[in-house]
Parts: sequence; C-alpha cells; structure tokens
Amino acid sequence: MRARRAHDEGDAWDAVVTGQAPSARRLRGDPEIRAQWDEARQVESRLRQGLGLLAEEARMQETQKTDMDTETVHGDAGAPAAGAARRWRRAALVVAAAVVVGLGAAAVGLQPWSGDDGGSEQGTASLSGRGLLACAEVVAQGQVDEVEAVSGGRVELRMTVGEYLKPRKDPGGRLEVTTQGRAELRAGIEAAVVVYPDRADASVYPGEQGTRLLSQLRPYAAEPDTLPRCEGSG
Amino acid sequence: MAATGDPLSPDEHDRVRAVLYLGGMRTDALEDGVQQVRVKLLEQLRTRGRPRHRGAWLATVAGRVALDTHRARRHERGLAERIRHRDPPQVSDRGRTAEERELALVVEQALQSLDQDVRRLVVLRFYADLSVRQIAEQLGVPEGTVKSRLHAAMRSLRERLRETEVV
Repeated sequence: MRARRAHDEGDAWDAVVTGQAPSARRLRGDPEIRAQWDEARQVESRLRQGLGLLAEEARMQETQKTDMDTETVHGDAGAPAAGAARRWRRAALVVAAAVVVGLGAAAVGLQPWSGDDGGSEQGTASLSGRGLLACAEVVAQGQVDEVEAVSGGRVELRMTVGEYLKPRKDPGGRLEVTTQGRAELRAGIEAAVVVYPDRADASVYPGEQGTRLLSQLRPYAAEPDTLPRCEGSG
Repeated sequence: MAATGDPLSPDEHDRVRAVLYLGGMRTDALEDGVQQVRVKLLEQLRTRGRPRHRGAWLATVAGRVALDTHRARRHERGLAERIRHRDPPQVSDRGRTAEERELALVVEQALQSLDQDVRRLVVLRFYADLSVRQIAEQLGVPEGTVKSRLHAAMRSLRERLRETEVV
C-alpha cells in the first residue's frame, strides 16, 4: 500500500510537471489519486501565482527606475552597457507609451512566451491599439462574478459585462473566459478582457489597468471602419 | 522593433528581465543581464538566423545568464555572504493584498532554497511556460533529467509552502 501510494503521488507530480492531467476516469475512480492531483495542482497554481507576482516586481522596479531616468535624462552618463540598455529601453517605452496598451499587454501576457516564433516586428503591429482591436474577437469590461480554478493553473472567470467594445453589444450580458490564474483575479473586481480567436486563453486586465485599456481603445471602437486588417495573428 | 533598433520587443524585455530576476539576479544587475541576452540574440541572428522558438530561446538564454552570474558571484565570495548580499525579497505594497505579498515572499524564499540549476528549470517551466521537451532541447539534456529534477523541486516546494501554510 505504501509503495502504491508513493507511486500514485509520483504520478500526480509527473502530471503537473508535464502538464498532462490524469484521465478523468482515473480521477473519478480513485479518491486518493484525486486528492493527490488536487494538491499537486494547488502547489503548481500557487507557485505560478508567486512567480507572476515576483515577475511583476521586476517590471515595476524597472518602470519606477525608467520614470526617474526620464526625469533626469539630461546629463545621464551611466556605464556604457547599462546606458545603452536604458536608452534602448527608454526608446522602447516611448513606442509602448504611444500605443498605450504595450506595457499593460505585456503584463498580462498578450504575447505568450512559449510556442511563439514571431519576431518583435510582428508584435509591434499587434500591440497597437487599433491592431489589438482589429485582431480581437471580444473586448469587454465588467465585474467578475466568479473565479474558478481549472487545469494547469488556469482559472475560468465569469463576469457581467458593463461595456462591450467588440462586438458592439448592449451591456449586461454574461461572459465566461479562461486565463492564467493570478492572485489578483478575484470575484468582485472590475476587469477588462480581450479574447483572440486563435488563443485558448483571454488576456485579462484587472482594475485600473483595464479601465485605462478601455479608455484608449474606445475611440477606435467608435470607428470600426478605420481599423486595419488583422495581420500576423496566425 | 525596427523603429528603436532594439532586437527585443518591450514585452520580451520585460519577460527576459523577469526570468533573470526569478533566476536570482540582483535588481541592480538586471539591465546588464538584459544587455547580455540582447547581445547573444544579435549574435544568434547574425550567425545562425532566427531561433526556431524565439520565446523559448530567450527564456533559456536568460536563465543561463542568471546562472552564470550566480556562479561568478559565488566564486567571488562565500555562500553565506552571498545570501546576505542577495536582495532581500522586495514585494511592494502597491496594489497588493497581504495574501499576495506573503505568497510572493514565500515563493521567493522557496526559490532561494533550491539549487540554482533546479531553480532555473522551475522558472523555465512554471514562469516561462516552456514544456519539458522544450527545456530539454534548449539545454541539451535528456527529458527524463528535466522531469526528475522538476519532480523533486515540486516536492521540495510543496514542503516549503506547507510550512508557511500557503497550501
């Protein structure tokens, strides 16, 4: 029994490591395996949340530093490598600021890390406000009513929509999307969601981030005929 | 990003920076780390062309830069001193609940308890979201090795998270 338990527990961790969940039949048939799988998944989910929060720290520190650099841009004579990096970064931030959604989009994984073979040139087009709106299937904002964990550290959000930018619809409808789980995604918060037709998970922008995104996209949504053709989304 | 001349898009820059940070680099060294990755990318583009999986490639290179930096620092001073010099976990209060701050601190401490090689694997798998196969390909090690190390790391992380009642 002891050997079996160790083996089953190993299976649960293997499943988390490989991202391949045990079959539903197996989970239904053995409560012990179900419990081990749930625990392993919970550890994975917390780990991912923690890593995401720490990654945000790295970005926030950079943002604060860049803000300070921008204020004291004259006379900045840092070390050559660091100085070049800051200049590059500053230029990139200018572009990102121009398209407004850039950093917010990066924060929530508009362009996933893995599986991509796209260059940054392609990303530039898709990060523009018009491009984002053109390529998205749904852009909406509303109140998150429920958050439920699903497989692989992801969560399903159920929300009541307060505003649709795309498609143009009346508010009040219900929307359900899946996304990568993060601690900040909770019932009761306001969030904007962007759903792309070729991606399984939605991009979710909680709170102020979502409000900013919507306010930037709203003028473009009012003139759908002026949106560019969506390119590079495949 | 032809307009800026930077081979890294802003999104890639942020993610590279995050992998370096999660890999244990000090915050004041992060931009130099990003610069190293940038130079390696330019070399790669010049000599071998675009990486087949650009995101996976960047994450792996960033993980390697963090590891190399850690090794160099360890060489310079003893382990105890290194730990003292490692940035204390910094989790800002801005927009964070107490629960989020605690979780970030616990995960940071759990990462610090791992061997650097294993820490890199955890970051590549669970932050950069590379598959076991992608990690094995990028690092040139057998899939079984990646799997067994991650397996052990997850068990160790579970104990840490349990100790602090995060799970």
